[in-house]
Amino acid sequence: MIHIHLYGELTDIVGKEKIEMSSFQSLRKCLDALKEEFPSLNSKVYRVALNNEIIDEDVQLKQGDIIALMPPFAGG
Amino acid sequence: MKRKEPKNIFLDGAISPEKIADSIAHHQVKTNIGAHDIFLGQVRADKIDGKEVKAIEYSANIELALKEVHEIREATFEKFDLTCMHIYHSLGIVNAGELCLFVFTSSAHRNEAMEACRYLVEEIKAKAPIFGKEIFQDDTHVWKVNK
Repeated sequence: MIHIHLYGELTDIVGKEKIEMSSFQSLRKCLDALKEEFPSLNSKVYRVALNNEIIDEDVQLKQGDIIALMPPFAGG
Repeated sequence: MKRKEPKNIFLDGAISPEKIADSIAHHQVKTNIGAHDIFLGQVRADKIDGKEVKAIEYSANIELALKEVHEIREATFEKFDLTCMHIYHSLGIVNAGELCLFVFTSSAHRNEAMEACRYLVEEIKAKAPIFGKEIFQDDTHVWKVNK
C-alpha cells in the first residue's frame, strides 16, 4: 500500500487526513488516480513530499511509501 | 555556534506572554549578549466576506516542519553571528489576539540579532509546512493564505 497524508485545505476535499491506495508504479500514476477519485484536487496548488523529502519530479514508488500533499504553507 | 539535534518548535495552543518573559529572563546570565530581537506573530480577527475570524486552528506536517526548521536554524547560525536562537509555533486553536509564533534571536550586537530574526521569520513562513484554518464566529472556516 501507499500512504497518502493530506494537509490543510486538501483534508476538506478528501474528507480525511490519511488515505491508503494500492501500489502504483510511479508517483505520477498514483497522483493521477487520486485526482480521478477527487476531481477537486485538479484545481488546487500543492507541494508533494515523498517520505519527508519534497520532490518535484516523477519517481518510482515502493510498498509503504508515504506521500504528503501540502497546500501553500501558512505558518506564523 | 551550531545546533545538531532537531528541536521541537511546536506548542499546543497559544504562546503565553509569560513564556516570552521567562525566556528573556533566562538570558540574563548570558552576559556576552548585548542585543535581543523578538518577533511575535498574533492572530488577527480578519473580516472575510463580512465574517470575523475568531481563531486559527494550526496544523502541520510535523516531521517535515521540524526537519525544515532545523535546516533553517543551521543556515541562520552559519549566516549570522548569534549567541542563541529560539523558535516556537502554535498547533491547535489560537484565539484572535493570542500569539502563535515566537522567534527570539540574541547576539553581541543589534544588527546581527535584528537581521537574523527577520530572516528566520521569512524562512519559516516560506519553508515550514504549517497550515491555518481560520474559524469564524459561526464555526464555518476558510484556509489561511500567507501574504
